[in-house]
Amino acid sequence: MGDIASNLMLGLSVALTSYNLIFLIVGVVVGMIVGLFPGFGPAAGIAILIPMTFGLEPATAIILLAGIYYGAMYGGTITSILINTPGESATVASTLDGYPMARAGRAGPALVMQAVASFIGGTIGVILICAFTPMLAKFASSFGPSEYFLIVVLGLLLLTTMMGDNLVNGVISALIGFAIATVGVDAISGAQRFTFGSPELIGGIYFVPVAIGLFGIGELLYCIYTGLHVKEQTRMKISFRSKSFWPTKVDFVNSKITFFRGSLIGFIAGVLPGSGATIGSILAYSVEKKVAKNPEDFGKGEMRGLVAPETANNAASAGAMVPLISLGIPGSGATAVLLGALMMWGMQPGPMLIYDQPEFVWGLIASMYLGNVMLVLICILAIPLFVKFLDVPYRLVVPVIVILCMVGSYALHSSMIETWMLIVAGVIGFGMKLCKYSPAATVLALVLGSIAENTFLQSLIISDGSLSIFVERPISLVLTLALAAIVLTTALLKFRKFMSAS
Amino acid sequence: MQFFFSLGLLVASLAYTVYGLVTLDLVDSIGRPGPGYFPLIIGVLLILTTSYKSVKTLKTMNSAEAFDQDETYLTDTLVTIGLICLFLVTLKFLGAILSMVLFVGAFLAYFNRGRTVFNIIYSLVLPIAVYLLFNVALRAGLPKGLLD
Repeated sequence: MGDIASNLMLGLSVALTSYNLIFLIVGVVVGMIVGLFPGFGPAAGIAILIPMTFGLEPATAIILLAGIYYGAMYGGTITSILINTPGESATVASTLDGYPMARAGRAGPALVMQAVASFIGGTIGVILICAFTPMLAKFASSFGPSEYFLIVVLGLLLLTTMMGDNLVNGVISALIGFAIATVGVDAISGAQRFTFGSPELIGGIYFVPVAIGLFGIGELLYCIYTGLHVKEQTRMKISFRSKSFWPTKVDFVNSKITFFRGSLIGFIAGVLPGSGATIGSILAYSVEKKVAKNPEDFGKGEMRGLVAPETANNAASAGAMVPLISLGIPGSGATAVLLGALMMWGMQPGPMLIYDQPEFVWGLIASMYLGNVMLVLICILAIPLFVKFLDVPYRLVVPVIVILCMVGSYALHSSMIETWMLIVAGVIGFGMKLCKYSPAATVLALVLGSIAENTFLQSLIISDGSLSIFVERPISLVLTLALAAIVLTTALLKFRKFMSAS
Repeated sequence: MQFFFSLGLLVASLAYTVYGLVTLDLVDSIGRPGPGYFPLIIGVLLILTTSYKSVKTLKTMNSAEAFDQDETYLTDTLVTIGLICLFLVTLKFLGAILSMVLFVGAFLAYFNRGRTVFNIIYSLVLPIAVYLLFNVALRAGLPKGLLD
C-alpha cells in the first residue's frame, strides 16, 4: 500500500507539471471531439495524432495520447445518447437506454450521469491498475518466450472470437497483420524478406501509416460510402442552466451499486487480452438487467442501463493498460496503437518497464487520475459546447481528417512510400469494414507480429523443435488449455447453431 | 463485393506464400527454423481461411441477403479516393500548402456545391493552419514544391 502511494506521488510529480497538464487538457478535449464523430474511436484518434507528438518527451507524448484514448470514451457516448449513433463500438450499449432517455426529454440527466459514471468507472479502473500492474509485472518477469507467444495468440483469438459470426474474417484480419509484419529483415537470421530489393522496405512496414490508413482513411471512406456526408445535421440545444439538465437524487441512489458492479466487470474485461471495452460494456449491461427487479424497464430509458455500460467501458479502458504496461501486450486496437507509439519512442514495454522507467509508467497512471477529474468537469460544464460540434456537416470534417492523415504520415519520415502505404491501407481498410473484417485485429497482429514470430521461433529453438514446450511449464499449460477451451467452445457453439438451424 | 474481396485476399495469400517459398529458406544451415518458416505458416493459414471464405461468399453471392438494401455512395467514395491520390501525386511537385489548397478546394467544389465564398475561405484557412502546425510548431519539414 505504501509502495503504491509513493509510486503515485512520483507519478503525480511527473504529471502535475504545467507543461504536461496542458498536453493532458489538449488530449482529453481532442479525444472528446474525436469520440463525437461516428466511427472514429480512440484507435483512429491516436493513430491520426501520433505524428503530432514529434519532439515531445515520451512521458508528455503518452499523456497526450492516453488523454485522447479515454477522452474518446466520454465523447463517444454523447452521440449515443443524443442521436442514437455510437461514436464507437464501446458505446453501443449506451444507446439502449441513453437514447430513450433523450427522447423522453431527459437528455441532460443522461449526459450528466454518463459523465459521472465514466468518471467513477475510470477512477476505479485506475485504482485497480495501481494494484494489479506491479503484481502482474512481477509475475510476468518469470515468463519465457513460450508464455509470451501463447499470450499473443490468446489475445488475438479472444479478439477474433468477439466477432461472433465473422470469426473467420477476424482470423484472416489477424493473419494479414502477421503477414505484413514479416516484411523487412528477419531478426534471427538477418535475411531480407519480401523487400523486393527496395531499401525503404528493409526496416519493415512501419505500423503508423498502416494504422492511420486502416482506422482513419478506411473509416472515412466507409462513412462517405454510407452517406454520412449528405446527412442533414440535427441541431441540438442543451443548457446546464436548465433545471431539467441535472439528474435527480433518485437517479444516484438507484445507481449506487451499479457504479461499482459495472466498473469491476469492465475492468476485468479490459484486462483480458482482446476483450476490451465493447464486450465489457455489453456484459455490464446484461448483468445489470439480469439482477434488476425491473428488467422490463431496460431499453426504455432506465438510468442503470446507461450507468452500467458507461462505468464498464471506462474501467475497461483503464484495465486494458494493465497488460500493455506489464506484459507489453495490447488487448485492443487502441492500445496496439499506443504500444506502437511507445516503441517509436524507444521504449520496450514489458515487465521491466515499470522498474526501468518508473517515472514514465507512474506518470502515465497519475495522468489518468487527473484526466478523469478534468473530463468529468469538462464533460458536464462544456456539454452544450461539445453538442455544437454535432452541427458541423461531415463533408467539412473530411478534408481535416484527410489532411491530418496525409501530412502526418508524410511528416513521420518524409517518405512518399509510407504515404502511399497509407492510401493503400486506407482502401484495404474500407474494403475490410465493408466486408466485415477487423482492422483492429490487423493492427494488433502487425504490432505484435515480431514478438509472436521471435517468441515462437525461440521456443522451438529451446525445445529442439518440439511443440511440447507449450505444455511443459505450468503457465504455458494453463494458457494452452485456455486456448483449446476457447477454440472448442466456439466450435461447439457454431455446431449447435448449425444443428438448430438445419 | 464480399466474394471479390475474399478472392483478392486469396490471390494475395497465394502470391505471398509462393514468393516466400521461392525466396526464403525454411531451415538454416544448422537445422533451425529459417527466415521462411514463420511466413510459410502464416501463408498456409491465409490460403486455407481465404479459400474457405471465398467458397462461402460465392455460395451466398446470388442470394437476397447478399444485396445491401441501404442507399450507398460508391461514386462519392471513388471521387474521394481519386482526390486523395491527386493530393499525394501533387504533394512533392506543388508542395504541401498548394496541394492541400488544391485538395480541399476540389473536394468542397464537388461535395459542398453552391457555397463558393465559404469553400474558398475554408480551402485557404485549413491548409495554412495545418502547415503552420506541422512546419512551424512541429518542425516536420513538409515539401515546399513550387514555393521553394
